[in-house]
Amino acid sequence: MQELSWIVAALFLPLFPLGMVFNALFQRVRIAWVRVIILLVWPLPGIWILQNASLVIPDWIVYWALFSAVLYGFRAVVVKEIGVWIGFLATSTWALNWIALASGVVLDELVLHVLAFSLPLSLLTILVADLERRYGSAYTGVVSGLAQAQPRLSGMFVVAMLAVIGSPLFPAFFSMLDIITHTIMALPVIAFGLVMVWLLWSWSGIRLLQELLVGPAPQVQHDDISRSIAITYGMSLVMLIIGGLYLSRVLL
Amino acid sequence: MHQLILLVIALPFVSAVLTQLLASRLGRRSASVSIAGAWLTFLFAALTLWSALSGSGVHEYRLFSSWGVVRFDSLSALMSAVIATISLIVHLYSVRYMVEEPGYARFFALLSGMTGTLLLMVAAGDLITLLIAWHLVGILLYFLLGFDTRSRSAYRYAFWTWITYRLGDLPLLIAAVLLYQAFDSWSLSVIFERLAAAPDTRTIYGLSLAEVVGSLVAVAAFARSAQFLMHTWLPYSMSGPTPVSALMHAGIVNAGGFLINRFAPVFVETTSVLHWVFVVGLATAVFGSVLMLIQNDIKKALGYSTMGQMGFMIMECGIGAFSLAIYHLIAHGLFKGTLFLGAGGVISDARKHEGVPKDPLYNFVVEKNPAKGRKPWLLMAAMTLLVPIAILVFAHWLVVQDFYQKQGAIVLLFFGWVTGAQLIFSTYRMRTDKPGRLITQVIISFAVVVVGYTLVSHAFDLFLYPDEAFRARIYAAASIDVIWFDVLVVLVTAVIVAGWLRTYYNERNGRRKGKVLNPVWLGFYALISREFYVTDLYVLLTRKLEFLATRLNIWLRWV
Repeated sequence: MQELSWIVAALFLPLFPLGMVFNALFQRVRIAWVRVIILLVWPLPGIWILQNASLVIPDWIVYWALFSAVLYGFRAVVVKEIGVWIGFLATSTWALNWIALASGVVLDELVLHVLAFSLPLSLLTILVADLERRYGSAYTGVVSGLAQAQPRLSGMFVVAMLAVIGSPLFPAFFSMLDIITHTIMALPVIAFGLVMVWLLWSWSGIRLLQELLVGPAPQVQHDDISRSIAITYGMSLVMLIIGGLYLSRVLL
Repeated sequence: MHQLILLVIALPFVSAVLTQLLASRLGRRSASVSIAGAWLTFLFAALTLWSALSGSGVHEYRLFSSWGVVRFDSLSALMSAVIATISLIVHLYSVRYMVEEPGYARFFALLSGMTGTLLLMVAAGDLITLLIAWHLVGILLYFLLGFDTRSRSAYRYAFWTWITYRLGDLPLLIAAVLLYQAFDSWSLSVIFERLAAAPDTRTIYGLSLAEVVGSLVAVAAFARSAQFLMHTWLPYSMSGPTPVSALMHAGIVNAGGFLINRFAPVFVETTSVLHWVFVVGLATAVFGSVLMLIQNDIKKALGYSTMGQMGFMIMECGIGAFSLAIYHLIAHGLFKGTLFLGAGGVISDARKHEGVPKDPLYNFVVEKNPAKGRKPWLLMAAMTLLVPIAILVFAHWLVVQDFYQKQGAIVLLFFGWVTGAQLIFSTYRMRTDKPGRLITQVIISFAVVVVGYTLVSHAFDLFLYPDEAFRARIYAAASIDVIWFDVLVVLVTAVIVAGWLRTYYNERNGRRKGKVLNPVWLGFYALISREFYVTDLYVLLTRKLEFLATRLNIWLRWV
């Protein structure tokens, strides 16, 4: 029974190769709001299982979780389809929850850690839907020069991407800082691995952003998002910053 | 008046937000909000510095429960004044320079945001605030360097900057977390106090906390200040707008020197960290200067010049002359900022007026056309060796009479002597009608620079580190075994003196002409023209990693 709990938990807080199940499902779903729900809900059963089964996480799972996070973070570096990239990042970030739990993060706070990554990824998913509506895809080989063509949408993409890759004041920054703080003394190697994972997210995120935004405007022109939509997105990002400040108060 | 530091930090952020928000209504005129903000920031920063000079002590203001501490002390007040001054100049310069660029208001919003972040960084009183500001500087710099969103090359090199800065953020983060775990506080003043009380505190793997944290902070400083092997972004990040280059070279790249100063209470508890800080700084100074000499692009040459100067700054930290590094970064910031802001004008003039007046200096420096008549070489050799040392000893004796008891001072003296001697040595071959007058002018200039530099750096020492015992401890942390030190000084001096004497002797006998370059020199030239293959190596490594990631994705079917 315990083995089954481990496997189910490793499916929802994805560890390689079970993360492939989540990514296959996420890529198959094309409707934005369903994707958002998946991003917000998927890791919760994993947390629930860990909470109820009272499992003590052995060291080898911690190393496996780090390997999964590194693997998906590293693979994300060359991804050009933003939807696929979001799935990889979700897998990479959720795997860290095993490390957080093993290093003493309180189980109740784990939900906050999950949301710290899932919320900005959800926002990015909605923006990707905007992009797909205009260009038919969110593939950086097809779409480029977005900053020239849709400055408002580009601005939102930039800030949402910064939120996803754990830039300061966004929740993911404080979440990572908290996990590393908990890990450093007990498992220093894991802590060094965590900062490398963070670096991989930055590398892949900025690479993707750069391919999407930079360059001359595409020949086929599409409308930018309206001012009111931009304000809505802007408010969501401000809320994320407020959430980050709240998280810093709770965690640090 | 010290409370003004809060306003100094807040004003640029407020003006950045207002500039962007008002852009749709006011258009380009919204930049005036940013300029007004820059003026006010400058004014308040000047008042804050005045307050620090009047001896206001150290004050801290807490904005959140566990972090968000703003610290007022001599270092933060001085750095705030410097940043506000450079920012104001860059703002004013950009008004006309950027006027034809699309995204004019966005540029000023970013500029104000960067100013605010830099000010927050220098006034951060806790580790989280410092980490946030340190990290944000990299982000904002990326978008400033890539201001022209059409330019792929600008973004390519902005990315190099970004990734190097991220590499530098991470050691600082590890250092912060280790300090927190050791002392259960994010506050810098609490941490420094507890570290002073327990300097032998151990951390991971039983290592000395001070040594580990000092090393990590040093690596973070190296990445920010473009030290050798972490320097490739600096000379290539010239595709950004000129005002950004000026701000970067005058106010951002030298943050490494600031960081080492901020963590001075950690470095005084270390035994070996400052030694390899010195070695890295020295290597950077040498490599940067060598690479600068072979550039034919004025902005790239300035980039490598900055790298060399940053090497000197870090080297100064490595010998324990922390406050001198701050003076160096300010002096370099003002001088390099001026050069960058003037570079466009110089290039424009050169395009309009072809031909440079061929005066003796031009003949000597550009045409490599030395004087035919030889001055008495023994007299020149004696002057080369003795005059700089006399001036340096006199200047240092003016401020501290027992200066030669500190190894750091001796090293500085040594470098001053080499520089002065090289200056006099160069005049030996320069074509001039009045050699006596030229040499006198050179010596007087050198004396003025040395005396000025020594007096000002001493004043900085007293201002930043008023506690004499603490100053002595910094020098002590940087010192090495006396016998080894003496051997090294004698050895290096002997090599340099022998080199000069040999060159003088050869000059006298006309042996420099007609020599065919041997393959070793040609190989060396090839090596430096490829910038020691460091960039090529990184590009190759990146491609290999990307190839591996692609292969993994294909094997795993992109899920």
